[in-house]
Amino acid sequence: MVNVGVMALDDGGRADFDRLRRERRERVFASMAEHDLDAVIIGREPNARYASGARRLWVAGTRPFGPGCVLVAATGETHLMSTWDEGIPPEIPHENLYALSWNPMVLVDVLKKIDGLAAARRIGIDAMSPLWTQLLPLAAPDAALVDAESMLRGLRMRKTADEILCVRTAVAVAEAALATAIDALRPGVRERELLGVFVERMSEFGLTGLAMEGIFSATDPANGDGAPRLRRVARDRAIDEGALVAMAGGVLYAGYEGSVGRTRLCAGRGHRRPTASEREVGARWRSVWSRLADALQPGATGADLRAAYEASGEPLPPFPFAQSIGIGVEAPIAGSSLGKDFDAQWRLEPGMTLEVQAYTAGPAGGYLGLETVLITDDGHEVLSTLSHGSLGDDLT
Amino acid sequence: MQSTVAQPSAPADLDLTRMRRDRLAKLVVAMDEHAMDALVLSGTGNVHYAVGSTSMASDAGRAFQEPTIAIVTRKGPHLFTPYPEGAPPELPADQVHGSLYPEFPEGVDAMADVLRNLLGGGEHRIGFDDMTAVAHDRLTSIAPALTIADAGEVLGPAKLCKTDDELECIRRAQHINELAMYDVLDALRPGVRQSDLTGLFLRRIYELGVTANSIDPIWQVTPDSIAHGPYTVNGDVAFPTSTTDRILREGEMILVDSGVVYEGYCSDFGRTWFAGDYEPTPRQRDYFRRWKDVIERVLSITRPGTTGLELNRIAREGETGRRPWLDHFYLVHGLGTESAEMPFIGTDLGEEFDESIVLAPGMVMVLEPVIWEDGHGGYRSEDIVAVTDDGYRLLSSFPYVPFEQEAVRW
Repeated sequence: MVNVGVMALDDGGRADFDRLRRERRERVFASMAEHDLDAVIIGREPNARYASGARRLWVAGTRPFGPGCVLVAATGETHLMSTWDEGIPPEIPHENLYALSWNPMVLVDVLKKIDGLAAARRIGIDAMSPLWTQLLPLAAPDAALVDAESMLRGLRMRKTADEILCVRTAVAVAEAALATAIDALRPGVRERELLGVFVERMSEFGLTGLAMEGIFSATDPANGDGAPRLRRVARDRAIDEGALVAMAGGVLYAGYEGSVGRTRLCAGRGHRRPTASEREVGARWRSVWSRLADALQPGATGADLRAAYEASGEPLPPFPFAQSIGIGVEAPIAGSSLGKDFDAQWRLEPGMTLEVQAYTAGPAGGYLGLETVLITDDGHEVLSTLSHGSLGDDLT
Repeated sequence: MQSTVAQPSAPADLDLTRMRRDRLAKLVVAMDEHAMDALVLSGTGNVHYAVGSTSMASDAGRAFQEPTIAIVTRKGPHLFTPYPEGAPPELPADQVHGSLYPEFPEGVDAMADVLRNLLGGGEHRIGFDDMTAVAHDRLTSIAPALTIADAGEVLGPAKLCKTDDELECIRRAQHINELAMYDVLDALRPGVRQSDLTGLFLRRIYELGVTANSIDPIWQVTPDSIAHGPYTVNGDVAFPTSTTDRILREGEMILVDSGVVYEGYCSDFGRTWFAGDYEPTPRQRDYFRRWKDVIERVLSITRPGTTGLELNRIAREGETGRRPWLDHFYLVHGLGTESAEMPFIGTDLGEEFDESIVLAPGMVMVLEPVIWEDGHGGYRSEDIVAVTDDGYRLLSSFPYVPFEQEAVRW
């Protein structure tokens, strides 16, 4: 039984962050050796967090590539773009920090001075930009630039025990926040207000980073052809009595994501029971989930998950329904538009954590359920315990 | 000549369709000028600029793997998104597509097919704002007729001067940001945690109608001496450091910074506060007055034709010793679909760069001088102005409490 919470315990017993960072770092350097990389230059924030353990400012959305974190095989050193040491782990010494700069040529000079980089023959990169395509050769003239994103993704997808504990903690907080948002659901509440309730509850645990702004959307009836039309971006719009409201949120704990999603009937004071038509979408969701649950085990591939979803007879949602998650999304495992052959490359292993969701829709609206699951030695564990409520007949 | 001040900023009409049409027209003109056949954009702010679509805001850890991508040709934009409901209503359905996955070889191949279909045969120059490692590896070998260029050549000039609709979006973003901060200021009591302030702030901005939050708000406890704060590479004040559940103590100086998004446009709120009922010392009042003096000097020459170097120099007049802004930042940055964009003034790009910046109507400047006397603390706030035909217009108004209680008037 895991004691999940955010308080530091004087006897230990929760995530050991020194060990977490050390194990990640060792895996990165070992993997660099396997891939014959003399250095890795990281631009993507999730990769920089993974490799360096730096706790940096949360900013929404994507940023252009820049050399934010540099790992050198010959020295075993990690170099970080950070003007200060606040949030920088103690194993990265002050001399390995370099200041934020607006002048790319200043950064080129910084790179030139990093011991071991100029002589590198093979440098892994996790992204690139037209500007840095021109500038990186100034700092490492003999180096071939090769893809390191896939290497880092492979490492990130296989979690250590401490990483799994972080995901568990994030799920518990996400679940608490979602339960509070569910309690706030009533006719007339606006979708964005529910997001506000979610975030405020999250902050009561001392956490401030959303994995995503989440889904707080009154669902629409299915099209005539039964095709799901899930609107996921919450609007500034009041929710009507009788709406089936899809709600999902994700939070970050120590950089790791936990998400959970449920659908509830907006029933007002009377708390009426759902009608047969409303319950039907929940029952169909259960049917999809039971097939997915059978497939969620070591050895199964993304293609097996896709087949399980399709066997339910429900149309696939227009986005990947299973994704590897950890420090954000790591890979679309099943259901992307790249097709089943693409999905077949991902094989589930114990220690992977996935976000798995299904959506069903009918004349009364839709049902979204989203779970974070851990692949175990003999199957999987759903990390959320939150009830699916009257639409789901408490299936968990 | 003194600048003419138009204020306060009253709510103005906002026509989002017109805004998107005007932006696209500017982009196409710039593409023509720079011989750019297409843009492939994945930066959140760039996609918004080119298309005006909405996606679910998320942490960078998600955003890179669930990209919203715009491919813009001179005939118009195509949107590739996991959030088709966020496409602008006038964008034809056959220009709204499912996600591209350029993190993977199969996705890069699909992107190359899209470019071939949109552009036809022959040589083409394509502007990218960012590339995945796989696209960098693979794209030019599978599509040898493509020349990869920097999308910034086109985006930079198009984004620099804002239309009235864009300015109104910034004003609304800032307005909501400021309204939420009144609640936060009331809650800044001894013992409140940084994370409590974040929770309150975020709840309020969502209630008040933002499109998204863009940065984890900063409530940085800042000691009077740099030596008592975090180590810094450049020896200046560490700022901005990230929020935790730190408990705020009576009288602590709190540097506040936040940014929200309204229809793709960012706000920028910066103030210096103190936890609890705190009476600033005469020294602190002096720092505040000097900070205001810097702003006043800068605004006295803020009008079309003034150069960035002139602003840089006038800001430093009378300030002996350190420049009145942080070493790793700037005196001025722009604001738009990015929280910091051109024009930058006072950065490590140097004086020649500052001199190349010539103010023009529609430019937005966030002024963020910082007064600091090590051992005694200092003062930092931010205010936003838009350059007008003959001066400037203020887009921020939150009072400088605890030094002044009235809304800002310049």
